[in-house]
Amino acid sequence: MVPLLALVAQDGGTVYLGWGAFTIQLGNFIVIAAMVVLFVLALVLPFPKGRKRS
Amino acid sequence: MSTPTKERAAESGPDEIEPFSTWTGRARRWMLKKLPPDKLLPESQPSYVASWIYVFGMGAIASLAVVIASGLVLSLNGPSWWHLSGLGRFVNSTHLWSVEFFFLFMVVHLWGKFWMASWRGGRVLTWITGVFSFAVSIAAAFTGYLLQTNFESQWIAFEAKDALNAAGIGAWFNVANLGQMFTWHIVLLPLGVGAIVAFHVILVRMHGVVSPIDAAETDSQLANAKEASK
Repeated sequence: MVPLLALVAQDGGTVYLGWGAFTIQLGNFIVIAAMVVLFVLALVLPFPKGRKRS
Repeated sequence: MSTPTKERAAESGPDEIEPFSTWTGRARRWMLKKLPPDKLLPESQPSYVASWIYVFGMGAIASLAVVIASGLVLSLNGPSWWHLSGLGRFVNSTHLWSVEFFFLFMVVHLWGKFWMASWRGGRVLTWITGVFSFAVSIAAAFTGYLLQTNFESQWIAFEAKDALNAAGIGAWFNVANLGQMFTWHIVLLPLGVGAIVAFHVILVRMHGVVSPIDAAETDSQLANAKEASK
């Protein structure tokens, strides 16, 4: 089975992931994935109730 | 000296017909009409705002405050301080990570606003100022990468130089000139980002937070908001 994103290069401490012609640095991939996760969570998680005003 | 008519006008408030003859009086009347104090600093928001998707704009502004505060400390102490001292490296990292969070929150805010078509209801300029603040922030971040004063910043500068020369602005915006980039990064671009973000927030206050797409026209909150804006 071919993994969706595989390690394609390692230059010093920098790791690159790739899928066909597509290549992305691991740090950039983590930030983009975090944004997508945050967006989905913002849509599905319930918002806490505010304090009641008299 | 003011006439009795002007004095009466000043006491009667912005809703009355006032014969203001000075530009300050007319400006005050216009500003109070466009953005009355209860809209500028509201005590409550419509119930649809109680969702996590509405918090990312404020998250970006909070991050921007940390970016500016940490950047001010860095610029006052200089490159040798942020390279060599422990505290300097900590503040340098704080500056980097607050920028990461600023862009992260801004992009999620952008996605949320795009999918709810938040330019509806006369909010086109709010959307456009948001786009501009994103673009100017990218320029500010780029000049920040040039100020790292290390081999990476040198590499970025000499790669970007070719692109900027090809665009015909390399002589005016010279990425190899550290002093010029410093001025862009700590004066001109922060002023630009700050002014656009402030205008963006004022527009949000003027027009109110956009309602969800599926909110009916007969929604009582929307009807009340329309009534209040008349």
